[in-house]
Amino acid sequence: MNQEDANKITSYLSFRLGDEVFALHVSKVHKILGMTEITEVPRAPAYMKGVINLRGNVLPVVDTRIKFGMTPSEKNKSTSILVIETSISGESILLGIIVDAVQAVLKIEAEDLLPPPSIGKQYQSEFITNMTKVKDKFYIILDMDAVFSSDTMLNIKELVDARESVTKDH
Amino acid sequence: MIPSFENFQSRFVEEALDNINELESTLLELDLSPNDKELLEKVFRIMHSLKGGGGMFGFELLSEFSHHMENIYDKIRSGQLAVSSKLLSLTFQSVDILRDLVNVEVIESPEIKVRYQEMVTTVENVLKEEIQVQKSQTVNEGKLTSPNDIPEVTGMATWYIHFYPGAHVLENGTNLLYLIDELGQMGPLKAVPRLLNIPDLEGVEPERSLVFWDLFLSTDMGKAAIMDVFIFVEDDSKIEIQRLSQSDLFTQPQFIARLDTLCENKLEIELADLSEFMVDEPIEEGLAAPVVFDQLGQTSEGKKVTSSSIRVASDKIDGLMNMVSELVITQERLNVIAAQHQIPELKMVAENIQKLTGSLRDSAFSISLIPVESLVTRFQRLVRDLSCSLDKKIAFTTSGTGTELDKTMIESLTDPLLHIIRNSIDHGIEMPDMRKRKGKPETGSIHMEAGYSGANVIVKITDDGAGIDPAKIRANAIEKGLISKDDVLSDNEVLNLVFAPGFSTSKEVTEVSGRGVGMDVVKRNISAIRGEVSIESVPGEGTTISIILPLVLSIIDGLLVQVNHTQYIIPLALTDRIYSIGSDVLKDGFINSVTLNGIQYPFYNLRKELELNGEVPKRYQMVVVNHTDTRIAIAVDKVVGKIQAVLKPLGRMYHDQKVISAATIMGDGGIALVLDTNSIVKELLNPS
Repeated sequence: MNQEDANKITSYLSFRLGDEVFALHVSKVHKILGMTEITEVPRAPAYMKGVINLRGNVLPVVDTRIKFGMTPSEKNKSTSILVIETSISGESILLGIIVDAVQAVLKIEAEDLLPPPSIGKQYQSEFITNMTKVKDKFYIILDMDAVFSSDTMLNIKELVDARESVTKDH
Repeated sequence: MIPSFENFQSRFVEEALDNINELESTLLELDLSPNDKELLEKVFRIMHSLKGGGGMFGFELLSEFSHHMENIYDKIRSGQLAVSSKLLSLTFQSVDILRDLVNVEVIESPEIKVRYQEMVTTVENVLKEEIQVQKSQTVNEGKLTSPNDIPEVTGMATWYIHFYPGAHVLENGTNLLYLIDELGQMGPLKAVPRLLNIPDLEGVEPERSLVFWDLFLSTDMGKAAIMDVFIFVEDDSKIEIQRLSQSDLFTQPQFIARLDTLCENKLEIELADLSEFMVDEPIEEGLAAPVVFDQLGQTSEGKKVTSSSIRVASDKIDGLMNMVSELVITQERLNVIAAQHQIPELKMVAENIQKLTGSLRDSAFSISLIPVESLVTRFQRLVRDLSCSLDKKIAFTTSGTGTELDKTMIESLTDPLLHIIRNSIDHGIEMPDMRKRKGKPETGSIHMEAGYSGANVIVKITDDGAGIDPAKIRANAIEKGLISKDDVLSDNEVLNLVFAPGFSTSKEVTEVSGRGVGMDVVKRNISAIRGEVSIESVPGEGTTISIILPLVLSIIDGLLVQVNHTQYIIPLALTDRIYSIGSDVLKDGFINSVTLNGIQYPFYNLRKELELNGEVPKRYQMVVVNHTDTRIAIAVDKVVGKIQAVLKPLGRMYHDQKVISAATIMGDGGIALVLDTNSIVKELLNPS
């Protein structure tokens, strides 16, 4: 999908991590898989959960909860792996991310997209593309390229704070 | 595919590029032996066919330009001009512009027209100059002759030409009758067609050439001119040219009469029948050895064998490799199913398919391998051009260039090697007078050596230049902050600092090397293909840079082992033997060493080193791995069996992962991790 076509699409997929809900543009999401057996690769950062077989190819899988500074994912009925496309130093790669639950597809028009809080680094706003409000609920739209290009761990608390600061302003 | 003009054109471009590459390597040979007649002929012939083909396929500039060059080489081979380094340099330059002139996109650009004009002017000037210079030299040195050359007799002579066209000579559109017409324009000609080989009508294949000729020609133009007529067909044909007499025999009615009777009565003419006319020719042993240009399947200097090779687009090979990979995965799946169902017939079929996939895989691999030799011409050219511009004398030699590597690897190796050689020329080899003072031969040497070593390919570049002084490296590294003053490093460690990022010994940036990209880029490029690079140097004696590349193939035979529930693969080619020992043996002891069957091995306990928790088994399996003559034992829980593994990269997210080089999809859909034994040995023996 080229960028122009992608921009016309106003659908976003929302998913839950703990109590927080995030959204991703659907053009970034390739597939949604149920939780499966993951082969651990030794000597990797803790958030690199391992690799799985995606139609004959090896797909690295990230434990998003660990990356976001939460307790490791546990396998239950709603746990899913989102296969997303990210661009890391200009190279497009497929990545599996474990989320607690996939929620819904949201329609968000361009005018409903709010800028990330500009109060600086303390909210880790470099990982946030936009904030948005759908039916009085606020969502963070994540910049997955930035999240996975960096080795730094995210802090779920700061992300929540960022959302709340925007919530207050509106 | 419908044959169209575009098709022919692109085929011509490919052929022309081949020709130009051959021209370049011929010139390099010619540079070493400027008097070699055969090489000169080759250059001339290539220019000639570029000219002809260029005109035919709409590359006018190419055709015109090669015409200029052809003229020069015509003068050289006829002895009017000698090969000089100036002329050779000019020809080398022309190689570059010739390459551009067959590039359809480039010829459209206005710059090329300008460059073309400049080049033509240069060619004309150099030619004029050379003629002037060499004339004055000739006066001093006497007559200019090239060796191995029979002094060309000008004046009337009668020639006997036996022309036996190859069967396929008509396929490129040659009309043989035109050739004979052309001969006829050179003087009185008697052409006797021979129809011996013509079969019955139903056996005639219209595309094959069946006729051969005996030709008698009187001309004052010499043998070279006769040979020129056949220039487009001589590769496929048998051509013998023999001088009968140094006069025009056609003026003698007896000769004509004799010819007529001979032709009617005899199926083949023997020169002995004409001996009475050959009075003025020295005939040794009854018959002078004719000059034979016989190239029917013959090898000239081991090169240009009429080998039946074909060109294939590289994406077709990639496609083939992908399919073979898929097949191997599917075949492993079949193995799993066959093992689950104990059906003898199924098992037999599965085993057969396994054998077939194995050999299919091997032959598919061998297709995608390219010998290192394909790089050599570029390096020779670099050495020649650069040493000329730096006024250094350098001989570039190679050995083991038959060593084959994957084509992508060859591609990624080119730039690092160019850089290393450039460094050797610029920093390594000293100026000739300096070398003399040091008691070395004036001509420096750079040697490239390639060879296999176990599961590796080693490429070494050795020069006999100034070498590297570790003290200087050390000082520079301290200055750059790479090491501190108090660090204790061996000379070897110091030398290898040149690969550190931000290290460049050259004080000033020269045009040749040190353009900001240094040895760290070489190292990075080589690491990218999982290779290693190291340097050895003796001050005053020279430097050797070795590149060790894993013979990484995308499919390997592997030994499947297991620790906890995860399966790992060790390349089967590297495994020596497997021993079983009690796990308590490895538990205590400070040194990582174990005695197996009376031999001591350093060992690598996969469970411990990879920090895999879980229950320690009662017995470990010790897999002995042989890595470039170093043997180590790897401790695993269980050896599962043999597997053909299609290697899949782990990707960027695991780019820091050294011990695991790839993963593979198993027959049951699971994943096994491929161990990089190179890294394991290195980690075990040089812990840092």
